[in-house]
Amino acid sequence: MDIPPIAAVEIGTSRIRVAIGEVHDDDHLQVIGVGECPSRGIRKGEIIDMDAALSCLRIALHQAEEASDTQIKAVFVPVTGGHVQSMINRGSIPIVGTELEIHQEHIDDVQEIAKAVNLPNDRELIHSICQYYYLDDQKGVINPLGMEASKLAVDVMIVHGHSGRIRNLNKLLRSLHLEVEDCVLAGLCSALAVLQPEEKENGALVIDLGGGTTDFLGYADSTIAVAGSLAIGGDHISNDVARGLRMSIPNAERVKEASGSAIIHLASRLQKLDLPGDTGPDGRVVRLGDVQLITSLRAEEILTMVKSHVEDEDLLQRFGSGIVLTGGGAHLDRIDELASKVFGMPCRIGKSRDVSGLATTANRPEYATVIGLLRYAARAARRQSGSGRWTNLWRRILSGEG
Amino acid sequence: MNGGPADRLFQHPDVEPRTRILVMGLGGAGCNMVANIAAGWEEGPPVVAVNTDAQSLAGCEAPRVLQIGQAVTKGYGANGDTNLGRMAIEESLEPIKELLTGIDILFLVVGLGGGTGSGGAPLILQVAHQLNILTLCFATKPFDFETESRRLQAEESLKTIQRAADAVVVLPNDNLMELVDPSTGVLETFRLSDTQVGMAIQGIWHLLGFRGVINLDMADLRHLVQRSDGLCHFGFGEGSGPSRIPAAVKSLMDSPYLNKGRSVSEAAALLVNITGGPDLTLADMQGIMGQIKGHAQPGATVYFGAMIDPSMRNRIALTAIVTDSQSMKPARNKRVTSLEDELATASSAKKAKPVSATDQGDLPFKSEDKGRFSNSTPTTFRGEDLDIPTFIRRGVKLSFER
Repeated sequence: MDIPPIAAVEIGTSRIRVAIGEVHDDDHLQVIGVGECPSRGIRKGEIIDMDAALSCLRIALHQAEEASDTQIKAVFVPVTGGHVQSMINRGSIPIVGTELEIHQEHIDDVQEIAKAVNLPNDRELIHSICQYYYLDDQKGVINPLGMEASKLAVDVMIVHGHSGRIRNLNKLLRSLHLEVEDCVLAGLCSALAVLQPEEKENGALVIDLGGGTTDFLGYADSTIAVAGSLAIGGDHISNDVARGLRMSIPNAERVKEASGSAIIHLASRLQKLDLPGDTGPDGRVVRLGDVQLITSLRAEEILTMVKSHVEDEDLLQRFGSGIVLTGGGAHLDRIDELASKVFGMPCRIGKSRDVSGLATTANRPEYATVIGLLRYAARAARRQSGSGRWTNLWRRILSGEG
Repeated sequence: MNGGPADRLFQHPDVEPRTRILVMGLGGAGCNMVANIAAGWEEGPPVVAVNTDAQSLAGCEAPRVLQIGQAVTKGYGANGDTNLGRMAIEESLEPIKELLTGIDILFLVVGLGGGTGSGGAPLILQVAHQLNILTLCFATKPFDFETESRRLQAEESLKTIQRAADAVVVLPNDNLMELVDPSTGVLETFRLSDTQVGMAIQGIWHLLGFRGVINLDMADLRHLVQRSDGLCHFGFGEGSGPSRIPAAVKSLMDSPYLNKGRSVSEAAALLVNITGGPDLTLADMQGIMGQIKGHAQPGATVYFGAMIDPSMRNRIALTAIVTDSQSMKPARNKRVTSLEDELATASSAKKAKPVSATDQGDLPFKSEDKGRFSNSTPTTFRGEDLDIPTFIRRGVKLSFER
């Protein structure tokens, strides 16, 4: 059975992106339409001007609908921003009876207990993700079914965000009569798009270098071990360039794209730069070395920030497959080299896997979030059609349950 | 100037020089010096700036740069830690050996009292010695008003460098005050002093590398440094107008590093280079030689050289490298073993502490530094406002701000 077309809308800080896809029986994703528009009214992944954001969304949406010859009614959206946080909650149950074998009911029970977290009123649950089981004092069990223990525990990662921010995202889409099917952690989307199953097993850290935010998600032993969203990104690099070289933000962005680098090219550091029109009133000479000094310092800081958030979990050595970079920031010259240096492990630029259709666009690292979102949506739709179990954050929010 | 005396004195060298010279600046101060030296030349020997600090290299105007010790200092400076400086050279011995391959004379330029220059110079000199390269080290000494520890460290480093180099020319910063009138800016003062050192190096390069009226060869230079105790002094003098010759000689004798001419009168050997315009005559040169010999003690060996710089019409500049005969230089075979011992002890001594990017102290930041993020919720991490450009928080100067 084919699933009807699904749509993903990313309200990004630098771009609003829409992707429409069809999933075929072999789990193959075909992208049938994309739309993109430079964002206005979004800062650090959060809406600050509804009207401006709306007009951009309209353009991107129209493009994608035209290209795919479909009309979108419901969408999946990624959630990102400094307000997104995660915590680990452990639940445990005793296994009673004459035999101590663990059955599916035990697993369901212990998951339910671990997922039952009381969040403050202004926080909204986004995901609860099971990590590892504990059998008595044995740590790190992935599937306890059929094993024996007197006590079963599980760690659940609770990902939650600020209710108001999520509501505003919803409001924006509803004003275009779009129903939000579900919202998904942006880092999870990127990981779903670019990671191979064996990379999840070996462990890998996906870092999505966005305009306003940097999202990361790490797999270890096929389990999501860490996730987070930092409100720093490519906009900070542009802002640093604009401040340092005293130019407008759009020009700084052009300079960043043309000449920025994550590692300084020492050989060409003295090369003079042809600056865009609005600059150089005082006859300054701006050199490549200056631009790359500014961009490399910020890029290194962003990656170091991610590292320090991951290191809290003491996880680094479990990412055997290294680092995978996605997002527009992955285009920054030599960013993979820098990431490899900062984390001390191999690094590659992530391309969405198993995608056809508009593959050249969809393969670009900045499309990883929407492509991963389509993949998530496809799975959710299958699950829904199978078991009828469908928890929808948005319906809960709208019905006032949240 | 075809057919004039100028052509016989200075032939523009299109040919490979007979003697290959390399000028290497090591550490922050050394790199600044060689940048100034090279800036003062129309042509001269190859110049390379070597440093641990990638950010400072990014703005360095030397024609060629080499970053060393990336693993040891992570691309930052050595923070005044000579152990780090030495470890950085150890890490990057291969590229340094590559630079030194085929070289006959190395002019190593360092500032004493820092980490990279002071700590790394002995090792580079030792490598050069193994490659049978004649080494002359120009070393600046910190100002008297700088910290006690810095001055003590400079003294210690000087001793080690003196044992490792064929000759060390010490340039005490305090003597710079005599070079200029008190209103001159510090940077301008350094630039002036560096240009003068550069003229001396250029003179030697010209004398040894190419045919001149007065020939000097490697044996003469070896003889000069071997008659020293390992320490040399540097002098510069200039004069213009009809009485430029006596004026230049007087100015040389008064030059700040020559101890009011005493260094000349007590020297066992001197190397004097004359730079004049196309109007420099043989009689002029004889006059200068006569006057300088008159200041030196009777048994002193005096080497002379001359070169023409078309911009020097009606002017004369003199540079002198003068041996110091205050103390005895340790025997060479002894020197090598003791240096190795010393380096071995140094490496087994206290482990260098890792460099942290946040060791820069707190600086006050203004909100206008935040640019487009002025009105956003600040993104902070461990008390740092990440919306302020990284380069500003790190106190890094761009090339046009220096």
